[in-house]
Amino acid sequence: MKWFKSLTVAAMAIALVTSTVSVVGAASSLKGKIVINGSSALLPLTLQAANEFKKANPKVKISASAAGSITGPQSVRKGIADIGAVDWDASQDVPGFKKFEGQVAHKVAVIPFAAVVNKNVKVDNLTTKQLQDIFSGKVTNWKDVGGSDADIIVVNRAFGSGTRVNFQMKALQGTDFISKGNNYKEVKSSGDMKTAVETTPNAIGYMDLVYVTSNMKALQINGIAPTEANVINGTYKVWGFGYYMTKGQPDEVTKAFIEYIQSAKFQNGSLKKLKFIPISAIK
Amino acid sequence: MVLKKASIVSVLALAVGAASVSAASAASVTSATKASTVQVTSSTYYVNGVSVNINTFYEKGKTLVSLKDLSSKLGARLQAVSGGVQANLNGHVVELKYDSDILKVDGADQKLTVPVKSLKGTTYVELKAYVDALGAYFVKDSSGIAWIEANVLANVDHIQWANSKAFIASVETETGREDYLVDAQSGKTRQLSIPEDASELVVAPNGEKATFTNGKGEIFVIEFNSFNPVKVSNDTNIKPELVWSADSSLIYFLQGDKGSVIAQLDPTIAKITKVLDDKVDYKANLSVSADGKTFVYTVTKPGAVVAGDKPVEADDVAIDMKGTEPQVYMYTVDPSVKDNKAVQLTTSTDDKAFIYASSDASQVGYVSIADSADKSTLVIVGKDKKVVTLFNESDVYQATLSGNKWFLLTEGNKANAFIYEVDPATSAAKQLISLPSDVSEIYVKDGAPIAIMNDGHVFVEVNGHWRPMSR
Repeated sequence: MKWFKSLTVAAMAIALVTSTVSVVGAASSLKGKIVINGSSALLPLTLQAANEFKKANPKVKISASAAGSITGPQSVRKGIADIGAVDWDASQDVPGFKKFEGQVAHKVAVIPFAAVVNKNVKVDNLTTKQLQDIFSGKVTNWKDVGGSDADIIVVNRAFGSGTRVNFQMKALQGTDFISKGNNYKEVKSSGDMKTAVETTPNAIGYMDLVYVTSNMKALQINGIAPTEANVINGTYKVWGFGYYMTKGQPDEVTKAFIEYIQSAKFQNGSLKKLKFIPISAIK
Repeated sequence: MVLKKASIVSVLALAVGAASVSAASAASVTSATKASTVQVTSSTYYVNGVSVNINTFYEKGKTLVSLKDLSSKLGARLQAVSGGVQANLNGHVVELKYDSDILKVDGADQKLTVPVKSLKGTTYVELKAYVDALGAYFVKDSSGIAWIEANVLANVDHIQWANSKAFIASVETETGREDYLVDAQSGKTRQLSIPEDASELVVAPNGEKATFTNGKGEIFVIEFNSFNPVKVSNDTNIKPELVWSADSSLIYFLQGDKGSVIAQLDPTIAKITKVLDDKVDYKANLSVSADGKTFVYTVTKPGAVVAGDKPVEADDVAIDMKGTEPQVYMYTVDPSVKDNKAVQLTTSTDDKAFIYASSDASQVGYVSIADSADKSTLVIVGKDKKVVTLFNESDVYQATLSGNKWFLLTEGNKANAFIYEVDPATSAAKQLISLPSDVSEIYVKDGAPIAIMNDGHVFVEVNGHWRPMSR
């Protein structure tokens, strides 16, 4: 190596003139453990960020798990997790859940959601009122919303899902879901929702936009397609922030990790790569 | 990082001990002549990374420099104008009038402490004011060396070597990232034409091109000698990691938001082939052997959560994080093996970072960070699953594999960090250099000079000195 040839002596030392700011870098002195639990939608983002953060802060060990958004702030309140990943601001009341007192919400991502149907469904667009009627069980046949004469199969996420909370707040504007019936299914994860909608004729459900596949159809809502561009330009309303909840203000190590996931480098890099929208994109 | 944006320039200098290189003085006087009442001296500066002598003199606390000498070394173009001279560099226009204390900088007046002077037919101008006016960069390091750079990028967040002569400097912005190809010798920069939603560039081993995905997940290749990237795949699956084949012809990638699948793209025909689809999630740190048959990666298992049916207020949730440490896996493509599966090479509970496989994938090295140990170590694991410590002399902060040698940034003494070179064949470790303890990253590539990031500024080693390459 050219460089090596010129530096064969090990006694070379380097000196600083001024150094007023310490950089959190490879030689970072940060040391500790962070336990993160909660939203399954945010888990890939968390693990990607952990993998990158560790390279600059090797002494910080990050363990992550997911079992639905509600378990995030629950774990923080119980003291078994430092960060609760959740698809809504759990420091505020939302449909079905009271706020978690004393917890601080840190925005980490923008998550668009889509109403999705089986590919055999002829409908491409539904209004908010039509969605409310379908998910509350008032409308049970596709012909009543411009489709074929066929029973609507409603697929819902189980209680505790952040996707469910967001869909109820943003797409249904707070109206209630049906909870039983022959044409009602409840699933526990985004993966189960994907399978159910893809394989059940006449099914309607909802999921993170990123999980929509070519084997299903994402609906326009009030004539607006669920796209990243429409979220950013403000015309598509069915989206939410993903949050990291902490018990009060986070400690130094947890704070550094949250700042990393909020950094321009991560938000514009890996976060976009995983098809989330940066928090700075929403003005 | 945000922190570094606010940092004041820290200037690095090599204080030479037993080294074979000698530090040049910032203003070593090699000749002196009386000219009127001022003493003109020939002073040494590093201009665009090259040591040069320029005539200067000192007045009212300011160094005045020969306009012609500095301009020619810096690459500024001079032309005579009425009553003075006009200098042009990097789009900046600076007009000087003889005996005037006003510089016209891009049309705006700027006051000088000492008027422009002409001595024995040579025009002199305030050094710092002139350099600043041209948009160039002037900085003095602690050993007294004065560096003057015509092309220095601001706010560089990280770099990577593209090849032995150039590096890619990345600047994070509010909306995306700007990538520049920087010639490490001339200092000249060229912005690469990549979209705002481009993932981090992955440089091909031949040093001639890089690949990236856009926000949709489509794959692009940009040749460094051309201007626009070329889309080589329309596939929109999420691709968390891209890796080039050793011959720079194929692109391997992890596929899906959980990185479950290993796939291969032939960019010449846009054909994607699955290499491994074993339903194992959260693969990362993918390496591919030179023959393209062996794949090394880590798998991180999420913790197990049990959530009961009690009311939310009961917090009926339990987490078991046992076994969530990353483990190293190896998969070798072999059609003759029935039910061929990946082999788990490690089972240890240490954290693992900086994972690299040797070119033949016979060994995988990583920095082991164990809860019980007071320092991180460099270890290697082979196909026989035996883990061997390669370096444990001091705490390892960063490790990178280049040219079949490991280069480590480690703890040093109180004020310094060290760079070690470790030969995995002999386990021999050699301390190469001492750095300030807050150097955050080192950048090593076979054939290229070493580069470092210190306080948010990039420096490249030049003949035993650290040349500032960003501001």
